[in-house]
Amino acid sequence: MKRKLLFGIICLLLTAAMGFAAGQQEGATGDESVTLKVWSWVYSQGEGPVLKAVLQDYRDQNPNVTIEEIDTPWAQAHDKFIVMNQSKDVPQITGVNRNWLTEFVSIGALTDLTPYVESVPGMRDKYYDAVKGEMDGKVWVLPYSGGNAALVYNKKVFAEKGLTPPATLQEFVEVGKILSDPAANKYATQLCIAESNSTGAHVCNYGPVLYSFGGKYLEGKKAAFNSPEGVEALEWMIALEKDLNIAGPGSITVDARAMRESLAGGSSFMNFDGSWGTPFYNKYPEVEIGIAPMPKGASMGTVINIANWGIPAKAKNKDAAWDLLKFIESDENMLRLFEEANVMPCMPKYGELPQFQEKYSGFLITLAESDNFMQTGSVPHESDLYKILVRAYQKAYLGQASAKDALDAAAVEYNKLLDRFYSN
Amino acid sequence: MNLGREAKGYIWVAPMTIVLLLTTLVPVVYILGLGFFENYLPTGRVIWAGLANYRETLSDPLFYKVLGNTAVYVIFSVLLHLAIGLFLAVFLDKRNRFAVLSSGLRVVFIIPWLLSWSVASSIWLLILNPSGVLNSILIGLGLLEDKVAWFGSPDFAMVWIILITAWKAFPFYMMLIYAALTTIPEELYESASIDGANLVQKFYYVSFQSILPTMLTLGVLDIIWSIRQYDIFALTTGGGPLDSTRTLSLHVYSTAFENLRFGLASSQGIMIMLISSLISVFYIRLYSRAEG
Repeated sequence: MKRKLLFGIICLLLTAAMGFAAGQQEGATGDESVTLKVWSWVYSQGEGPVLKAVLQDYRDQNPNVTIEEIDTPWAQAHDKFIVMNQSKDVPQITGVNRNWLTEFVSIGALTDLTPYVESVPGMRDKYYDAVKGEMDGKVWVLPYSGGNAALVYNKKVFAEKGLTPPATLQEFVEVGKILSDPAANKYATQLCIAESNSTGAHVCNYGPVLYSFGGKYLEGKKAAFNSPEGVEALEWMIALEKDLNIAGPGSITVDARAMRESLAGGSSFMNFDGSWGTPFYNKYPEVEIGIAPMPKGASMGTVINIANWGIPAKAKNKDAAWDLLKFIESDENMLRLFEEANVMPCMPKYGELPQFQEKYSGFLITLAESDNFMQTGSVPHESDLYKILVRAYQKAYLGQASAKDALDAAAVEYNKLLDRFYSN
Repeated sequence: MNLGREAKGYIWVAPMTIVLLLTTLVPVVYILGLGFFENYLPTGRVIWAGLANYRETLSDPLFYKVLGNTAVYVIFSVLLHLAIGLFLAVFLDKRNRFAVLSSGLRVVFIIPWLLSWSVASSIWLLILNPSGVLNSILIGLGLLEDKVAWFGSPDFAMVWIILITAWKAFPFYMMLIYAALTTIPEELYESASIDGANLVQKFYYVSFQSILPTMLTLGVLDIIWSIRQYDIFALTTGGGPLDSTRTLSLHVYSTAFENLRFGLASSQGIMIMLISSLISVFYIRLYSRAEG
């Protein structure tokens, strides 16, 4: 019996020792084998194949490096990162959507990349100013894919009907009436305001429309979306579906993906969408997608939103992580992303090339001419803001409150969060 | 070293006991403690708050709405799971005339249970979205004129979620009730026949009474699982429209990971645990009575 007891204790000690050894291996540096976890939602999106190929190239060039590709669904990515950050089990490189930036920096979740970026000549300045992942003079993340919102439309249908993309919100309604045929379940546009993807609702639809009407989410440290311009924008969006019948039904249950599917499937013909949506259309080469500038209201409004890469503050092996990140963000690999994955360039060096100018003219013109835009990641509690506003939209949409009352109530709710954020 | 038999026994179970304590008791104690602190993530500070989190939760009208939504979801989901599970288990029972179809149908019926929640949710989103399969069929048959947003009505969104959950979960209950039915000795049915019992009486007095403990156990488990259900709500409606499908799990999750208030979320989590425990105690007493 004593021998069995001794055997059991030895087994326990061996198991503990193996666990300790495994823990040590991940933190290894130099020529020793290194494991780098790269966590993102883009693997399962249009950028995925290029990213995987780039990571494979890095593996081939660095046989001592093991890269674990960790895919996460977009809808849960933000919350999963918060959970990971609470533990010490964080990846070496993480996807960071631009609208999480204020929050992630405020909770100390990201590594300041400034010294790394400044060690590479020209790297800090190679991106468009509007997409740089900087706050308080420090570089926190590096942009990867995305851009800004504009009008995505079906070129073939427009050509068949002899239409040109609407330049103003007024023209949007007029063109919409021509394109819509509710009896055949065809609608000029499809809005996506589903609560299950409230970020998509804002960066694709609500934000660009709000800013085109001259409104804003935030003014100083207070909510500003309940301004007269904000009320007008909300009423206009709801009217597109409820009164004018030019937007497909059920916008409060439609997410960004379903909105894109409606355009690809011929149920809608012109949608407010961001350049981050264009890789989706790669799967439908038969649909000729055109990009027009965002139709103007009181302003030419848009939302700039980018998927970025960062290094978590709690990550081990930051130097090795930076080496891989530098490789992903190298000019050569970024050009590959823009060319092969149908991603709008986030670097002027490539954005100015004729093939991209032609392909993304609508986005690029909007970016250049916009006089009222929102850069995601610039307001606190942005995920909450989006959810609060989606619920306000639902209230007005379902007739349970006027647009003004719904937005005023939302402003009270959001201001409470802002007060807590700024008072701490 | 001459340890007694009892002492050796304690030594052998000690490692697993320690693991179980670390993985169950420690998180519960941690959450219980955190509920008394204000832990707002952006500040990084943890400040003593006493009962403030509990008071805030109990004075929030949304909490009661969420509680009501959860009750509706739990009651109807559990009833549907058990009812469909029981009906199909009896249908597939070897004593039934349809027994010949049993093995084939069991394989077919179990498919929804094998799917992950994300896959099941995607399937139903494709079916129920305004441009989805259901609208196309109904419009094609002339039963609908316009597309309907099935998840877009606060009155019906929860109904759809309960139906989807029933579709996804019934095979589990069907299989366990079916297994319980197969253990009933044939002699009981023969005795009942001799006593002149008809089909309904045989079902109630022999089948149902024999599987009642299994049904009660499944009921307890299903209540606890349903209270904790998160995936289907997050993946389909996100709690909307107008919070009509916002349940306790979603509410706690949102407080923690969207509002970043971990102390408040902990107090809400403790309340869920208390509610689950009370229901479980009630059910266990019911179970003991049924057994005794």
